Amino acid sequence: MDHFILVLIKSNPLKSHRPVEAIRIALGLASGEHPVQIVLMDQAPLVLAEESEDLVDGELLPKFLPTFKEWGQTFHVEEESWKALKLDKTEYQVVPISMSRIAKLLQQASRFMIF
Amino acid sequence: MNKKKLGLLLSTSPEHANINTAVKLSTAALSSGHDVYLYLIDEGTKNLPDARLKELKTQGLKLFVCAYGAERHGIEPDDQAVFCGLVVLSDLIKGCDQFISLN
Repeated sequence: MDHFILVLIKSNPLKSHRPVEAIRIALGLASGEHPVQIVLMDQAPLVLAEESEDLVDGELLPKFLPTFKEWGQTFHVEEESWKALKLDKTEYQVVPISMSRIAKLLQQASRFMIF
Repeated sequence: MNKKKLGLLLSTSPEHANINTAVKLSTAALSSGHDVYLYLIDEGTKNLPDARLKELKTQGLKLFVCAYGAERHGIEPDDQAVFCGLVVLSDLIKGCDQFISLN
């Protein structure tokens, strides 16, 4: 049975390596049999910013993110974070979503990873 | 008894209380006759030397370590665990009846 995996990233990539590691893990799982949805909250959407040199382990992102772009992977970004961070120039497929929509994604998922 | 497979993912360092949760859940599941698969990833790889994990291995715990995470955190390969990639984690997610992430 394939499981719908929700990877929710809420750690601050300016202070922690965990968001970049979560992107790596999400990529590894998405390359397998499982559908993966990625939700970014708080400061975590900064992993999608054009400039990543200020992020912890930001130099690793170019190894992981282009594959998501190639696959057309959607990044769900909590809409208040999206507005606050003003990341209009991201090259990735982003869908701003409300907290209630995030709650619905949580209901639909059968496996959860929260970083 | 209906034997189940429990998968656990641990990504936090030994200083975090998650290792205690992982040990307690593993102990309870193994003593109930279930199979337990523990995958250490990221800073969770630093828990490999934990004596409680070695003890749980003798009780049947299947222990896996993210090879990438181990290398990044300076964890030397050890016969106690299988050092592997995310494909194994994906297989565990698929194969286990329950899967809990301790992040």
